[in-house]
Formats: sequence, C-alpha cells, structure tokens
Amino acid sequence: MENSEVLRELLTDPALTNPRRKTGDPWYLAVGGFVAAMVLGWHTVFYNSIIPGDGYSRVLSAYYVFLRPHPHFAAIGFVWNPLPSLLEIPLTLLHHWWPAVVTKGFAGNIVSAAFYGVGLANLYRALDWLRVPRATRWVWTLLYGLNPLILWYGANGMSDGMLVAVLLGMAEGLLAFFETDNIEDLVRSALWLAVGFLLRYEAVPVAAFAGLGLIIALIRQGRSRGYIEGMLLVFELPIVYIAGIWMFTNWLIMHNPLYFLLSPYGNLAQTGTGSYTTPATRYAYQNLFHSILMVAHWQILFFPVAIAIVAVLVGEVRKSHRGGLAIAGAAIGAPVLQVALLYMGKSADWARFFIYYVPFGYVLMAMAAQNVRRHRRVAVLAATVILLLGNVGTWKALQSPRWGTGDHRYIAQILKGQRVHPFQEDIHMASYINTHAHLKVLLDTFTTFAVVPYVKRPNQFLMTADLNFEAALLNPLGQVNAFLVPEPVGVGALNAINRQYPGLWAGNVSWTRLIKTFPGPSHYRLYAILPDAP
Amino acid sequence: MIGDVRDRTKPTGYVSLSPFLDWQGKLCDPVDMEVAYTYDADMLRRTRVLPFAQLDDVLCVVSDNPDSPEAQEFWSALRRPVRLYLTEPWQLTLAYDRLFGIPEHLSDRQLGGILMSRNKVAAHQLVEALHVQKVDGARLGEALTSHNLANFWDVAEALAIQTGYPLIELSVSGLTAPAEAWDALGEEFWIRNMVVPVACTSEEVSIAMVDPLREGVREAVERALSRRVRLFVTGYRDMAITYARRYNGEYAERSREEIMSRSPEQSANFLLTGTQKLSLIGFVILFVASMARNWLATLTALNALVEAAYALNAIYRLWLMFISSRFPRHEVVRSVRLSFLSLDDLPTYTILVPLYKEAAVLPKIARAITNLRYPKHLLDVKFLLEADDLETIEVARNINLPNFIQLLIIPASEPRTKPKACNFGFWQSRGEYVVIFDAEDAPDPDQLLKAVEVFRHSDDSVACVQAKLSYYNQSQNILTRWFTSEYAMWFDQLLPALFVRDLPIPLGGTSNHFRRDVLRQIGAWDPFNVTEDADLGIRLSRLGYRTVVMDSTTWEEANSDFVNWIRQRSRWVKGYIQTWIVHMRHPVRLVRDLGVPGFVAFQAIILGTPMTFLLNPFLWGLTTAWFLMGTPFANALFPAWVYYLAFLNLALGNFAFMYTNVSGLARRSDWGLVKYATLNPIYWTFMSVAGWKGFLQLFTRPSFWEKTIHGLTKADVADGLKGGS
Repeated sequence: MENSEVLRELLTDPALTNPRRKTGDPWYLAVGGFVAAMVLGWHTVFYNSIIPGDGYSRVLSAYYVFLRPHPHFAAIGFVWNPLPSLLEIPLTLLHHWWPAVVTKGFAGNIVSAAFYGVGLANLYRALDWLRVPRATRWVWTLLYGLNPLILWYGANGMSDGMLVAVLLGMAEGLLAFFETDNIEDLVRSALWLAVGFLLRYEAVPVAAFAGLGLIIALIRQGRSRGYIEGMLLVFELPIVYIAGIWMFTNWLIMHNPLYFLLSPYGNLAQTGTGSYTTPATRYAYQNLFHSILMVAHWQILFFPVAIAIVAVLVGEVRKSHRGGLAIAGAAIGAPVLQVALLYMGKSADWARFFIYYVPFGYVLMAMAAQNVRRHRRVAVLAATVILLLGNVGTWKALQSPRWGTGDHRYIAQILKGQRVHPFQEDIHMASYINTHAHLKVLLDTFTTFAVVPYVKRPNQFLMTADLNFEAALLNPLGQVNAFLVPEPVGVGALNAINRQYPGLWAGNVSWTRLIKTFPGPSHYRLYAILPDAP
Repeated sequence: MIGDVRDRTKPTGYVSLSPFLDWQGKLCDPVDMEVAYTYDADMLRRTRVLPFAQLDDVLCVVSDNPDSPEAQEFWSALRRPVRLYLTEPWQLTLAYDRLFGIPEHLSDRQLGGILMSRNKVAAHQLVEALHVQKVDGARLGEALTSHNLANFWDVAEALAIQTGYPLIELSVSGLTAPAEAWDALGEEFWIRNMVVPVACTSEEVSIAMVDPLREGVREAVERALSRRVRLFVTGYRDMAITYARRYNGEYAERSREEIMSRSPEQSANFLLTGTQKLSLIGFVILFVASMARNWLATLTALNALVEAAYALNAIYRLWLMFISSRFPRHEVVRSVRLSFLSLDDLPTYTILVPLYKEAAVLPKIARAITNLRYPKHLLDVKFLLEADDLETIEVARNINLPNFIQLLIIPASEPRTKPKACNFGFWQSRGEYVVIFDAEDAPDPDQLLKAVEVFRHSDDSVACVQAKLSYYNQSQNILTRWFTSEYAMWFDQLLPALFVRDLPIPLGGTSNHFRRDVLRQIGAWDPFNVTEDADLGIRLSRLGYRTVVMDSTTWEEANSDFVNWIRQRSRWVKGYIQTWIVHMRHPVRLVRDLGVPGFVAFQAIILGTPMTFLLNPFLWGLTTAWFLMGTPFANALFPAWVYYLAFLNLALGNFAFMYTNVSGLARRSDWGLVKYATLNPIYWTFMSVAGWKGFLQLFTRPSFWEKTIHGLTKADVADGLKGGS
C-alpha cells in the first residue's frame, strides 16, 4: 500500500475523526423507548385485548410462585427459559391492587417494554463504537425502534423481543472489545449472552457462531493461540455455565438434566404432535436445501441483513479490525438453528423466529457503511435508505399471512382497532369453578393456564406447579374431586391428565363421571372423581 | 612507504578515550593496553601521544596536540604507518592514569592513586569505580567497596593516608566508649553517620568514622559531649561489628517487645482479652441453650446467618472487583518519569531479607538485589540470618556477597518468626525507605526507583507502597497455576480496589516499601503475628496512613508442593484470624479508626477470607447431605429464602469468583493460566484443608511459624515473563 493511501486510511478512520464522547443519549433512548413500548402495550392489551399466549404463560408461571402459602421458584417450570418469569414475579405481586398485571398478562408487557428501551440504548452504544456520527446514530436507532417487528415484540410481553435487546448488548460489547482490546468489554458481551440463555435457547447457536466468528477474527489479527483460547473462554464461559446451572436445576428438581428439552411439554414434544405443521414446514422437512431456502426466504422480514452481511464480509476480506466476523457469526446463529429444526421437523414457521435479522441487520449495515472510506456520506445515506426500506419490508411482511405467521392477525386487529376476547373458554371454566365452591379441580397448567387467574379461590384447584400434583394425579381420591381435561388432540394430547389417563376425555375411565363440557376450541371437559378412584 | 611526517600528523578524526559499557553491560576500555604498554610511559606522558590500537600494520595513535614539538619528536622516532586521532586533553590524562598509574607526586592526594600505589586496586578496577562514581554520584571509596572492587579495610587505610587521620581497628580490639558517650547522641545519629565513639575521657572523646570527611559529625559530637574530639578512620565492617556489640541485645529485645510495650492491645502475644473470652463463652452458652431448646430452629437460624454473611461477603468482593475494573488499578510509574530522577539526591534504601533455612536460594536473592537499578552505595541491604541456621550462614559467608549486603545474625529467641527477624534488621537500618524481600524474590530492577518516585509524588499520608507479586514458576504444575491465578485476583483486582476506595489494605508479605520514620513511629512488625504484613497494613490504616499499589512486579516462587503449600496457607489463615482477633479487641475504637467503610472492608477481607475457607466444607457437606437425604432434609434446614440464598451462593457466587479470576488473568495476559482458573473450585477445597489446619493451630501454637520451603523449582524470572506472553 502506498504511503499516501495509508495516510488517507488513517485520516479517514472514524475512530480518529469521530472520537467517542459520553452523552446521556442511551438513557434518553432507554426511558423513551420504555415509555413508547408501554403505550403500545397498554393499547394492545387494554383496548384490543391482545394477549399473546406464550407471553401470558410466562406471567402466569411467575404468578404461581407466590400463589401458595409456601412460595417456590420451581413453580415457574423447567421448560421455558426462566428469566422472563423471574423478572415478572415482583410485578405479579401487585395483582391484589392491579389484577390486570396477571389477568391480562400486563406484567409481561412491562418487562418487554423495559427490554425494548434497553435494546435501543444498546444499539445506540454499539453504533457509537462504530463511530457513527451522533445524528446518524439517533436516526438509525429510531429507525430500528420503529421497525414494526421490534416495536411489536417490545410491547407484547414475549421473550423474543427481550432476547433481541440482550443480543444487541452482546454485539455492543464485542464491538467495544475489538475497538479497545479491553477484557471488560468482552466480559460485558459474554454476560449479555449468558442473560440471553435465560431468555431463549436461540442464545446457544448465537454463542456458538459468534464464538466461531471471534476465533476467525482473532486469527486474522495474528493473535497467539493462548490469547484466542483465553478470549474464547472469557466469551463463552458464562453462557456455558448458565446452561450448566439450568441443567443442574432440571436434574435437581425434575430428575432429568435435559428435562427442558425432552419433557412432554417441551418444544420437541409440541411439534411432535403435528399442531404446528404447515405446508412450509412440510416443504423443509428432511430436506436440507429446502430448509436453508426457507430460512433464507425469511429474510424478507428484513432484507437489508443479507446485503449487510455480504458488505461486512467483503470489508473483512479487505481488512479486519472491527469484529465484523463475530457479529456476522452471531447474526447467522439463530437462522442456522432454524435450518436444523425445520430439517428435523421440530419447528413452526413463525415470523418471530426470524426477528434476529433485524437487530443484526442494523448493526452490520452500520458497520458496512462505516467501513467505506471514500464516499462515506453516500454510503451512510444509502444505508439509511436501505434500512428504511427494510422497515417497510417488515411492515408489509407482517401483514401477510405467508410471512407474518403468528403475528399478522394481531397486526390486523391493532390496525383495525378491533377488540378481541381471548381465553373465553378458560374464563367460562373459571366461572363454573367459582360458582361451584365444593369443587377441587386438578388441572395441568401447560394447557389450562388461563383458567388460574380467574378462579377466585386458588385452593379450588391443584395445578402442575403444586408439589403434590403428581401424587394427586395418580391418587386423586381425597386430594381433588374433579379433573379438567382438554380434548387429547394436538398439544392437548400432552396434557398431563390425558397422558396419564388417555381415555379419560372420551369417558373411558370408570372411576370418573362427566360433569360438564365446555364450549371452545379445546373442548374441555370436567370429570368428577368417583369414590372408587385410586 | 611511511610518508612524510606532515602527512602522518594529519588527523583522521576525533576519538573518545572514556571507557564505555557494551551492550552486555561489560565495561570496555577503548585503549588496547597491549599496544600502549610497548611504549615507555614517561615518554608518552611527555609527548602527549598515546598509541591505543593496532589495525594490521597501522598503528592508531591519539594526541591532544599533534603539532607540539614533543609530539613531533614522537612522530620522527616512529618508523611505521600511523593513523592519527585527536582527543580532549583530560581524556588523555585519565587514560595515562589508568594505564600507568597516577604519577607519584600526585598519588598521596587522590584515594584511587593511594590504593593503586599500594596495589590494593588494579587500574581497570579504578576505571570501573570512576565510571560508577560518574553514573551514581557515589564517592570513590563507596563506589569501590559497594562494587567489591576494594575491601572496606583497604579503603579505610587509603582514607587514613589521604586525610592524615589515624586508622583504628575495632573488630578484634573491641574498642568502644563508655555508655555515657553512646547515650549522648543516640543510636540514630551513630548509625546514620557511620560513626562510633571509641573512647571518652573527661577532656576528649575519640570517634571512629568510615568517612572522616563527612560534614557536621565532629561538631555535633563536640556539642553533645562538650569535649574535644579526636577523629579516627575505620572500616565499615569494624563499625558494623561495634554497632552489633553495642546494640544487638537492645535490638533483640526491641524486635520482640516493641509493640508489646508500646500498645499491648495490638500485640498477638496473647490471643483473647478477658472481654473477648467472656463474649465467646456467652455465645457458646447461648448456642448450647438454643440447641437444647430447639435444635432445628437453632441450626436453621445459624444456617441463615451463615448464608446471609456468605452472600454479603461475595457481593462485597464482587463489588471490589468491579471497582478495580473501572478505575486505574495502581500507581503507574513510566520509565520516562524514572529518567528524570536524579541519582545524586536518591536516599539510602534499606532492604531487609529474612533468610531462615534458605541456603538453596540465597545466591538467587543476592543476584536479584545486585540487579536492582539503584546506586549500590545507597543500598543498606541486610540479610537476616538466624543464629542456629548454620547452613545458610555458611553459604552466605562463602559466596562472596557484594559488600553492600550485610549479614545480621539474629540471636535465637522466641518467637521464631519472620517479623521478629525483620524488626531486628529494621531497628538498625539506615535507609530513608525500607523494603522487605523474601528469599525467593526477584523484584523488577526498577522497583526501588519507582517506589521513590511514588513516595515523592505522594503526600505524607502514604506510608507504604506495595508492589505486585507474581510467580515465575507458574507453569510448573497445576498447584502453581492455581496459586498464580489466585495471586492475580488478589493483587490485580482486590487490593487495587481497596486502594482506589482508600480502604485498609492487608499488605503482601514481601515487596512492601515503607517510610522508615512511619515504621519507627508505629513500632514496626508484630513479631507474634504470623501474618504480620496484613496486621501492619491494618495498623497503618488505623493511624490514617495509606498504602499505594504500584505497577512493579516482584517475581516469586509459587509453592509447587502440596504439603508445603498446606503449611504456608495454614499460616496465612491462622494469621488472618489472629489479626482479626487483635484488632477486634476494641471494635468501637476500630470503627472510629477505620471509619465504617474501612471497618466493613476489614471484616470482609480479614475475617471473610479465612471464614470462607472454614465454612466451605460445611456448606458443601450440607449440599451433599441434601442430595443424599432429599428434600425433607432441605425443607427442614432451609426455609425458602435461605434455600434460594444458598442456591445463589452455590450457583452464582462460585461462578462469579471463578469468572472474575478468568477475566483477571486474561487482563494480565496470562493466557496459559486462563483455562486452569476454571478448575478453581478444586483449589478452594485445598484451601479449606489448610484453613482448618491453621485454625486449629491457632489454639495450640498461635505464633508458630510454618516455614515455607523455597527452591523447589528450576524456573527463573525469564520463565515468569514468558508465561505471561
């Protein structure tokens, strides 16, 4: 390289031309983002009555912890990652004064809104490490915050939005580390990643591929083997340890370290029922190429990610110093997991599984633009336009039944201002129990969770999180006097009562008598336990 | 073809004849003696010409005035090819002196000349001493003796000739003045000025000095004793022996009893005060009564208390580590700052090296001290040897130690501890600053200069500068790896945080540099405390003094033998508990002295550290019992919140410490150790074994010094530095 070229490279290096200045901007973004997501969450919950089931179940898991006189954290269960529920526990304690935090699952919305704010702050700080000028940082962060998928998942109480915010924290730490060489930055990144595991399992492939990217980036920097080994350990140790602790608690309480994976309530079991099979998942099943194609197609949710990955990789080939490989690795982690799951037929084709394209798309696009030396203003402008178009793409995709699977109905309801009435079947069952005070019902909260917050006297039911649930299931006489079971089809077949007594719902268990059939999609039935029961 | 004289006296260039140090640090003389010696010395001096090298058949000659008639005479007589160089007149004169000796008519005026004329030093030795004199600002006698170029007695003889004062021998004759003369000025005066009173009559007092030209001494003695002073010259060793005769008994007593007599409540010569005994008995009675009344509730409450304390301690330590990651962790002294230090006004520095049964590593520490970049004549190094350790004494006497190292033999007495030895050396030290090095230490060569620089740029409240410690044999085995990673956490994360927050710092046992006056003021080390370093750190803090951690490392030998390690660690645990008990004799006073944050830090570090080791087996035992006996057991002993606290302690607390250790090592670039730090929990079990040994010994032999054996490795500092790359 010519001297003049070296000099020009140096003089146009954003690290020199835009030194970092500490501002309160991340705080403003975090607080502003929290408020914005809360407003949207409030609107969707209290006006539209939209309560996504997975978010709601996490809130109820938190609610179970202090429901009984002897609180126990294990009540949150060992299938879903525990952090959303753990964070929601203090909020559910407010239900005496503000029932909606539990009955409408609003505790989940509050927590996801907080993560939304954190995510904005994290992205802003990541852009700061990339030396994106302040005005552009604001524009890009606001664009990110206004991405429909990100905003919706910041407001709806689901764990996907929470993980996105945390992964941005990981990316910020990585970018800082590549800029400063400070171990503290890598530690911060690693801790965010470990927190990610407590939110969703997608953090695992992200950790694996980000680690791989980290190794390659450090090799390209000419680092020693010991250094790379050490850095990898610093980066991966927290998530590995947290995963270990999770398995340890699974073993300790459920007597199976892989309970979260293999339990009858787990994702694998649920997809095994065929409830989530669609033409798209059938297309990908047992065909690697189709699985890859399908995951690649999902980039329609945020198409700039593909452009950004290619641009960053091209930049990395020319010159490597910003950890683009590690971030690109992180970006492909979750999609690769989806390829594997779709190939095995163990995943649904929900849009939210591909939400990770958005945050990594923003970070990588910013990196690609900042890598441009000669016409950076043009590159920044182009990146802004692409990101904006990306948001429009997300908006369009979310409204289509094909690409907005799992969300397009909610979006339509919000846009049309529709009021929906979720959990009518559960409310009906709860009101029946409320009016029959003598009933003591055994129910499996895996499928029947929404009944719990509406039952006025919690001692009228015995639920999965109760310590004597197993005993009452096997020997109900004297412990409960009724079983509440859904029709054993789809995930209803995984209900603990149906698994224990497969013929019960159909009336084939002699020591039970049908009391009531409830109208609704799950066709619940309430059976009385007769004196000859075990 | 020899050519015309005018051509031959045309200078080729200019040369310097000053000896110089080559890249290996060896002193080189640009004058080739073999060439110079083939010519007559008087003729060369007269003609002001010096042949200094020969390149094939060409003779290289230097002159300060080649056109002088005398020089012309030399050129005419020379019948061979010549290459002429010019030089400064003084350089030429010095070159003659070192080659042919100082001319007789001058020899009685210069110390070097006297020594050379008496064949006590060779010319090249004098050259070396002159070089040292120039670089270090030492006087010639000091330069010669401190670099072993001449012995003390020969220099004293030469000084006597030069100054005209009579020479006096003291070591065999045992001459000494009566106590009245000694007491008139006090030991500080005699030792600092290297002077002893040797006789005293009603009219005259005779004093012997190592340096009779030292100003102000004679007048001071005259004033103090109101007598005429008669001056003698003596050797440094004679003087040291006289001091030893005069003060050894006093030093021995003071090294044992100084703290006991000054502030008995701060001495560990007894363990519990009456109040402490009563409190302990009270607690035991309360516990037994509670157990008798409701053993399960008592154990549950105790368990809750332990878990809460454990969690608080863990949180506090993690907070400290967080602090150290956010702030500069130590005082950084850059080389450029050192280059501004004037060697002329450096103070005398005392180095104390306690050596008990350290024959194997004694040469190593002597070498390490010799390698220190500090004017040797300003070093007051004392090797502290125990009278019954004949092997070490013999080695020390036989390895030709540098003269600036003094051997002090400590009379055998109880307690047989390192602090007692240090006290013995300290009370007769001369330095403005004092540092302790252990037998196996290899300090950074710049460490003393850095410490001086830190002291000079700190206010008077800084009484101690602690260097960091690391190990050069870290990769010897898994134990040394763990040991090193533990030290990294202690010196890179914990102590710097205490320093940043101005909290009491338990000093490391070595490489702590003190202001001598402060150490004198507080009575130096407690000889009965087996972690006298930690105790001293707390005492300094109680008096409002601060300790600064600086970015200089002393490389040590990590304990590589398990039994040896257990012994060492048990002493540390015992010492920390001892220190805690001593300072908790008056808890309210302690809070007043340290302030609430300091008191909390004291509890977390001095009590928390050993208690963690002692409690761990119980907590692990409870966990195991829980696994074996199932939830009913856990339900009984662990109410919900205790249970969760215990689980957090187990799951997150342990990980947090392991991970901070991993990241701390990575920050130090100790890549080779990072992966071993993940196995730290195994090391913690060893700590508990040692902890219990130390704790039990506290009641049987509280001041017994568990000796750590050194010299179990072949590695050296170079290996340590490699380990970090």
